[in-house]
Amino acid sequence: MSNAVTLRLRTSLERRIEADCITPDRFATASAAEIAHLAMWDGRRQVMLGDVFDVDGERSTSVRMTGDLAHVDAIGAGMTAGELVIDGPVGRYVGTRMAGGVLRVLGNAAYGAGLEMANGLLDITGDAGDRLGAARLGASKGMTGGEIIVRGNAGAESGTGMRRGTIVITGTAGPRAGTSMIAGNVIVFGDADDAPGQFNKRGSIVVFGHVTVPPNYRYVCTYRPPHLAVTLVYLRARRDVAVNAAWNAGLFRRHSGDMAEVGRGEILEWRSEA
Amino acid sequence: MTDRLRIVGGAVYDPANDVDGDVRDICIQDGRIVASLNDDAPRLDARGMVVMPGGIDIHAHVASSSVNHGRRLLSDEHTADPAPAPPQLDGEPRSGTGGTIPSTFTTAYRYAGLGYTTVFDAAVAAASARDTHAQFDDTPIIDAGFYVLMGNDAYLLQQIAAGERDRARDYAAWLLGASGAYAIKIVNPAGVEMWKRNVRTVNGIDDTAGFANVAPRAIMETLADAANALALPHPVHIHCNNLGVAGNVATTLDSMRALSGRRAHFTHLQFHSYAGGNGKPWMSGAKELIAYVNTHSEMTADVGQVMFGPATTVTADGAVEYLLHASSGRRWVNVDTELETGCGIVPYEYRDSAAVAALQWVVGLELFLLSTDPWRVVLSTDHPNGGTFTSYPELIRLLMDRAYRDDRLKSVNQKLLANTALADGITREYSLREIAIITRAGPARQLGLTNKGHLGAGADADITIYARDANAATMFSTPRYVLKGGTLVVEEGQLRRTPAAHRLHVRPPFDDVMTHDLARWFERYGTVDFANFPTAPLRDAPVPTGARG
Repeated sequence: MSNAVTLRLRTSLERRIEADCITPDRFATASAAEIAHLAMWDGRRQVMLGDVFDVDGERSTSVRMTGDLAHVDAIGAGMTAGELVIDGPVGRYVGTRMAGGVLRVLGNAAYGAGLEMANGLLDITGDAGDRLGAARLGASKGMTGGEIIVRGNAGAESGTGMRRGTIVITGTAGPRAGTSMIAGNVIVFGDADDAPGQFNKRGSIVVFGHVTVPPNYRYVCTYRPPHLAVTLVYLRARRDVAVNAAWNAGLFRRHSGDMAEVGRGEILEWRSEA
Repeated sequence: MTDRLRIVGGAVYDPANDVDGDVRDICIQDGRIVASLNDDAPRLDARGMVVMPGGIDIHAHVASSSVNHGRRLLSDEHTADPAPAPPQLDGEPRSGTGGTIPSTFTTAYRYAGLGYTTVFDAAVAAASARDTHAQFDDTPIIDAGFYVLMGNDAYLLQQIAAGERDRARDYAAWLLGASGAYAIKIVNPAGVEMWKRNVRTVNGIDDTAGFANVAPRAIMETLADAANALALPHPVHIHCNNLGVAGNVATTLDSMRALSGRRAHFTHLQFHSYAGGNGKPWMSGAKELIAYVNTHSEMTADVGQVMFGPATTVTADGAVEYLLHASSGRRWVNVDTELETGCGIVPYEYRDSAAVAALQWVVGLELFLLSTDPWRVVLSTDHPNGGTFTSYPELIRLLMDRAYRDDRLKSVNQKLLANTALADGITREYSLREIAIITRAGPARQLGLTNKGHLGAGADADITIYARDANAATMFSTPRYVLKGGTLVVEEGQLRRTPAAHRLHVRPPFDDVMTHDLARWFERYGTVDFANFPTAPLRDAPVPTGARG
């Protein structure tokens, strides 16, 4: 048993590869040869992992991937355990349906990162594309648990249809963040200006930057919710996220909505002073 | 195509020819079954296996404008169930999507993979028949046909209101030929038409539909008589009023009595067999209904079993889909309202923890288990309404294995199951012969398909060979060999070939005088020109009807 499995992308890719076979739990008992024989989709053709990646190491739930993986999709799909580190940018659907373990992307992630994620931690040091932690197009339920941290900006429709779990975006959230949230938390350190929280049922959207509260939300009160202080301490201590000390001092304007839905959701808008 | 083949040593279940598990050889020549072959013919070893005719699905939704709307609605299912091209396939393997409404090629591959070789789409609007034929063109292996919707057709309703029953019959005959259909379908007669006018006044078979003053009774009588006068291979195919409503068993029995003495097929009985209602909780009405069916040999039926798991309800009965959408909160579409029918679609999931779903499941099983004539009460799930066709093996296991069924019954919601016959204990287990009847021989007889559903000389060589397994679900989900028209489609459980399939349709004769009146109707009200309405002639010859022009 080796300490880790390393997958090195051999050449730059012209087409997208669907690599949902790459999950650390699957590598736990697999020899290097077995790993190299896992099937991936190159367009409509099946290829073997070994055709595309150099495999180093075997039988480990600690996996590291290197190279420009921007054309490799669905890495870590459905992973349940272990640690997968992607050293660079990654393609679409990274960590989709993941149910456990830790997936770190040391770069940007494209469309659908953490799509329908159920549990575990997805940590992206760069930017995330559209539909972060959201539902598949057409499906009503998005992320159902776990944690997503984006240490950059996120694209459109983060957390669409989210049911449980937490999404933290340290930069700006793109248009329609938290659309159709059933519940769960979307925390945005930067701005969320373009129609956040449409059709939100019971979800909580927290914005420390500038937020344009949609007209279908109703101002309720200004207060200091105690759980947010705990969340910020957790993010700084456990997730190494830089947290502005002033945030604990300020107050939050609470807006209830979406009033066109059940109206039990909220947008919490941080103010440096009441 | 294999020119000649001898299937050797299998236990043959061919109820139409009174063969019940006897070990005998089946000989095939040029796509048909023959009485004998020379000894030098190639052999297929089926020793220890079970040989049956290919499966026939009498009622499914696989190729219509409505299922295409469903596919459009269910993009999430497509990403969840991509269907790669079968790797072992000779010829041109096609990828597709699965889910509750698979794409055309995938529908064919999966049906064939279950040993089915003939399927009928149960609801096609005449104006969109071209779409259906185009989809069938992309559905290889499976011989297919469809039933054309007539129960809410404005021209037809007007003829019935005017007492012009002969003209109504001629119109039905014309419409069958013009659309390339196989049988007449009625869905919620008059109810859909009135619902489209935003009134829900048709709750019983004598409630009249406003403008034309026509009640469901007259529509059903007229079309049942038309089908019988035209001697169509399949009688009128009826989806009664009040589908899915507690207490609807009364309406269903009224409909059956109205057609007493006439040949007629009542479809997905399960959805029409509920007692209770009017403030009282849902109850099973299966016992009462099946007692009537058992004693009326002129009528046939399919069950429309509900199976737990994902489904998509898709029906011409837009009214009932609106109710389902409103009660479940799920997304829906309401389409085809501009045609002589309606259509609603709601993706759905039957959960065994839900009281009504558990009752529906029990009602369907009661209909199967209390039916005394498997030839007349055959298997369907109204795919994809009560569950998809891929759940048939599980359904067969429930029918064949009492211990398994009783076990499963314990784990479902019991709230509405008190006093149901199934909860009281039904010991019956279907035999392999009876399964062969409800999935092959029975549907073939009901459909008037003389060359299918049996293994006698002259029959199409549509054959399924199963390896025996103590678990009937395993046995029926993974046939070892499937032959379609003599071509080995599935070999050692792998899909290998996809021969083109045939279209099953009728072209009954009618009195040409009717078309003058009809052309005037098109001129005044139609958005399609009369001359442009019929579909292009089909390659396959029509199935003969008894009527002579």
